[in-house]
Amino acid sequence: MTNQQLVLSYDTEIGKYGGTMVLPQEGPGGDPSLFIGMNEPLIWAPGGFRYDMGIHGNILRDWEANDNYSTFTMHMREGMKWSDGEPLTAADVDFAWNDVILNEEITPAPPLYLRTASGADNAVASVEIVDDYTFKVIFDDQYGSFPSQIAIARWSGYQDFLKPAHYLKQFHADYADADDLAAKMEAESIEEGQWYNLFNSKQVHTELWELTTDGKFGHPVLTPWVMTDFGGGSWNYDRNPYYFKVDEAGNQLPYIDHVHMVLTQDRETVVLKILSGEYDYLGERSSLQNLPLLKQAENDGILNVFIPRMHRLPINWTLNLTYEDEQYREIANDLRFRQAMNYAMNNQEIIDTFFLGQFAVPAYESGISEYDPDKANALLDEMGLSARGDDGFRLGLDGEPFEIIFETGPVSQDHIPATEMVAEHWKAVGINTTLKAGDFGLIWERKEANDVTGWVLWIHEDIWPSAGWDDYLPQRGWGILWGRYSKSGGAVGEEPPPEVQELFELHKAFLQAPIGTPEGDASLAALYKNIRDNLWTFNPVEESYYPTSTSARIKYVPKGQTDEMGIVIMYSMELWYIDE
Amino acid sequence: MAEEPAAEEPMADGAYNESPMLAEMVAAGTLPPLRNACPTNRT
Repeated sequence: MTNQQLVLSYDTEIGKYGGTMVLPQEGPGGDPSLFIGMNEPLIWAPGGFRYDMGIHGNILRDWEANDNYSTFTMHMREGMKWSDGEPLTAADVDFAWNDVILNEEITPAPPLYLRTASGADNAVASVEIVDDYTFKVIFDDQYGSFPSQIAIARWSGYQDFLKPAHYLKQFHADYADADDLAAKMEAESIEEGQWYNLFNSKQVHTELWELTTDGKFGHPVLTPWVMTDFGGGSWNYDRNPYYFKVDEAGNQLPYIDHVHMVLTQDRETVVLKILSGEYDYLGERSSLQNLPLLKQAENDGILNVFIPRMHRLPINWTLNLTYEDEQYREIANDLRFRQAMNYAMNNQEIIDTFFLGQFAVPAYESGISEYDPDKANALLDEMGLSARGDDGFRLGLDGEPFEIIFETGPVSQDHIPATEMVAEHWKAVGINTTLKAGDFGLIWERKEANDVTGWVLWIHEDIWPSAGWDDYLPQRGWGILWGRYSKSGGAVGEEPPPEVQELFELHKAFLQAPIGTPEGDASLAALYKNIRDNLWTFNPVEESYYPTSTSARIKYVPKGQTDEMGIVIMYSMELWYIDE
Repeated sequence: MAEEPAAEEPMADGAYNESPMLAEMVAAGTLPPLRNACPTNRT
């Protein structure tokens, strides 16, 4: 094969060309299933996360690092083309970096991962163009995890380094004809002088998510499909005639010619249209409670059901340890309290109720897997919380009533009922715990403002040995003021205690170590140990699975339960094919 | 809907199979032949 092409050779089967795949679109602002299905990272590890098997070329042909992992040399595929047939060369890198990422009007704050080990104190990388198909990315210190940052982390694609200069220059003040640019700005009601707002409305940023929205129509891509029209709650895509992947038999991918997206925001409607065979893929936000219905439809020959690994701790309960209340802080910051509340959580009941008894295990990496209310009670007594109020609940250390409030919204079908269950577990050991359900966007804003004591979402840590997801850090929500201190270099916020400082240092060491090496594994193990020893957040279950399905006509998808990550199955959508 | 079975054998350097949808576009002159778009240089 030529070096323009990437031949997929792992476990692929030879598919058939043609057909239209019909999918629900989650919202006008994009769709997670097609976004991941379209996404192309610069480089890629087998199975998404098997760094021990090496990180190989994808959009790029290959890469290499210098001895101390501060300079990365990137080799492009000669002759690769954008979806409009224009060549992709290092001129597109030069434009992406020097005219967009480093242009302070367009990009006031470049993504943090473009600094050494995502360190706020480090400089943004520099990029050196070597020749038409080679460039170097140069950091100010060792950044061994950089390859994983541009492989799968944050679902980032290629677009911080590769932008179609031939298309985007018409919106850039340094290149565009002034009259032409002024006319374009006027047409889009953009204020005079703010050409960079026009540019940002046209360019695709860090997340390829934007390619599944109306606003980026016409932007050339390197993805398997290209949007051809939209309107009235639907979006249509055709195959990209210049797509760079071929199967082992030399068939250019994707197999499926067209994708038709239909706006369907109500999750129950999505399930109904999957059950009737109207839609071809359910996506990843379905509750296990749907499994019996899906299995029935599979028996009827309508669906193929599969149950892949979920990519996160599915439900994570968080207390904000820097909430501005002295009594709350004194209790929540006592490690014995967090140990007690771990022992109080009945992991198995949660698994039986929300994971059908078999699609998750009690947390062992980031929580205490044992359920032992006696131990919980003993620890709470030892802390000095033995006095009870008239309502039977434990009083605070100051003798006043003490209450934990968890806030969350319907981010999945399970979050609210599962929090009700955990509140019962905590009440059973005398800690008055309540759920406040509301709009999750508002809860998130108040959480960021340090105004929330407890909240519930999910978390990526534990099963992703990958740099680029840092939601184990306090800024995620368990120590808002400590996070502010770290991000500002001590200018604002509150100085963290030694155990939290250690976590920050381990985080940086993990990002600096070459990933997939003994050095990287050791720093990840130290990071896990800090999390496990301190129980910063509450995670009763790990290793969860979720149910999903395709219509029976979609091929090259797994059957039944699989240890493959659901997200990785979606990444290979260009290999799905229709056979009916 | 394309019903042709896919090729069983890898193609020679620089050549590959394409979807009938693209072959029709090439035939209609709305898309350049992919062979022209595909370089043959190797590293």
